[in-house]
Amino acid sequence: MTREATVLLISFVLGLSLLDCRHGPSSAVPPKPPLPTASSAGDTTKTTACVDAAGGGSNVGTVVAAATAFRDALPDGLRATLQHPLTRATAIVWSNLPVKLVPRTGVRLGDLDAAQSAAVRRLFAAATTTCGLAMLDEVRLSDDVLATVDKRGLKWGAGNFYVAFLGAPSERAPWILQIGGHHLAYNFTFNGERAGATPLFFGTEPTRFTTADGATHEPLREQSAAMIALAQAIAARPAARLSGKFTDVVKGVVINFPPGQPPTGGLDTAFPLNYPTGTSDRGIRVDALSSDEQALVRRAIESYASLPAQSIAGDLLKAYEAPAAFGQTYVGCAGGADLSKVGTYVRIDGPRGWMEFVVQDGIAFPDKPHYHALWRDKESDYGGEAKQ
Amino acid sequence: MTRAGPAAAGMVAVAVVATIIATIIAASPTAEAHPAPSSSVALTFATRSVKAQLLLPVSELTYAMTDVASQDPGSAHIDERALRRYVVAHVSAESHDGAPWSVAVRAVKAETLDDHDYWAVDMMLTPPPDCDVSDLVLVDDAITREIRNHFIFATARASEAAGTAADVVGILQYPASRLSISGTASHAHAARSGFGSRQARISIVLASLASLAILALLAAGGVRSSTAWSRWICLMGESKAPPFRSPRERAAIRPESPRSCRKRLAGGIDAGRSIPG
Repeated sequence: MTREATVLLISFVLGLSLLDCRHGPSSAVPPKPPLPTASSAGDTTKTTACVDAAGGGSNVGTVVAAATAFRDALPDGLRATLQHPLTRATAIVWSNLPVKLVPRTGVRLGDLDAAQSAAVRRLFAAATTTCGLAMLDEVRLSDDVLATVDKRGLKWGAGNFYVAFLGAPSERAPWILQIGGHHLAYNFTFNGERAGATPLFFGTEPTRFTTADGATHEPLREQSAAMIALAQAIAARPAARLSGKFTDVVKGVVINFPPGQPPTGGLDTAFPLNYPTGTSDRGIRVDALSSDEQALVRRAIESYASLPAQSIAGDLLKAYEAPAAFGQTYVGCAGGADLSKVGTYVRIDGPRGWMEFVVQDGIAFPDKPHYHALWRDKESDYGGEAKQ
Repeated sequence: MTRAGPAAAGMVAVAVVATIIATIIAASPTAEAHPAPSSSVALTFATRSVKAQLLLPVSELTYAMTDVASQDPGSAHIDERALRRYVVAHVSAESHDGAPWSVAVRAVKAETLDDHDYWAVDMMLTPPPDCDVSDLVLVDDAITREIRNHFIFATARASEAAGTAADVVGILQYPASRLSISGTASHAHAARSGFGSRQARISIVLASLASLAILALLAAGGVRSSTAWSRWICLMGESKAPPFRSPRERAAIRPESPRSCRKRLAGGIDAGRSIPG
């Protein structure tokens, strides 16, 4: 089938198929974001210990119970929107981009009523730590700031975040809890072949803002501070300098750009990924660092790994910080080692863990840079369950 | 249903489809929302040469060509001469045995696509006299050599004949810079045999017949699509790949669920490739 004929036919039938595709999240419903309160959003002037947000420690049973309660609180139509099969094709549908550019799977948080919002919040609390829940709240709040300057209909805003179940919530069978929107992607796998906290993307624009209640927010305050402290500590070591420049994270989503067409996509279509091997251009090994510098590496790793509940990320963190693995981890940086400098890039590249942080150009506020951060696991993204 | 029903239903369906397509086009992503736009290279095979059309985003190219020491992302000034030098230094071709091809930059011009500025560069890649045009290894690290997160999308098509489809043949990201086209040698074969133009005529006839069949079914069953419809649509979506997919590969294609298919068609899920590096 040649291109013109195919395009003619595909356009025709695609249009027809779309006629039957209206069961997804409705864009016509005005957003009703269940905004976190100022206190629940987290006072960023305080240091918060990252304990399980549900209190008393979460386990799979706690998450499954909360997931089931949330599902039961939904009408039939939304239950169908919430529940999807667990396949590679469904798992890779996450992104850092606005939902207008990359529609997300699942139920739109802005479409939930008060009872449903409370139920989904209990689910989020069961699956995250206080830090992970605060990250979700803060990133959504930052998107509300963007919504005030959205002249292109990109669907920024706290209401435009989604939750989906890939596979049925179960204490034994594999399933993924997907929470995502602009600048946030939590993909937590339960009962997978491997512990699955990743891919986990988080970012923010603006990096710091004040809400109407006078509270100041910095969604990535701990992570950006930890990564930049590491970069500043190692930047003077030639072995730690990564070659090249960085305008985004390296192992993030792929934006398709077939010649002659506008860019599309922005999903994890490159999964499974290849990672650097050998010793060249990966930075400096942790076992070559001083104890103070090693402490900075630990702080940076923990700032990422403390977002999911301990039952999800605890084993991963142990694996990353086990003496042998920790010593074999590389840390590297590029750019200015300065949070105000576009192109500042920091990376932790372990036997399993892969954590990136980059300072990017501003999009909504071009004169102010913004942050992207990504955590992947070389062995257990999607818990090893995103198969063909 | 009255006698006018089928025709009216068909017209309504066409109008609705046109509206939906227009809406989709209007809602296309804007380049402003992509802080790190990708590059592309489109290969078109001819009998004795391969045309390579590059699209390089000005923002990323400027940053790539900026002196690292200056720490000023916007300090590089790119004129056409500098661009030509850069492209020749970063894009080349060779045969699988390493024999270098001649590479010439034919034209350079500025283009704006989706509100983002690009340099469009036309190149001609010509193999040595004793090498076949299908024996191509593209070597391209334009921008990716400097910017680690940058992607190059490469496509190939068999000829310039109207209707000849382009396939994504690979995606390059540092440190990967070499793309072997041997796996898609049918591009070159098709170019030599003139396969494309004849196939185009046959395909258009088939497409027209299929469209008429759709309209007839619409008239009989209304405009609401069914699971069977969606599955058929998916299979048609798969047909974009031939003739570059072998019969064995085609046989391995499993029917896809309607939900998965709609997402794939809408989101371009299947366009990704494993990325070395």
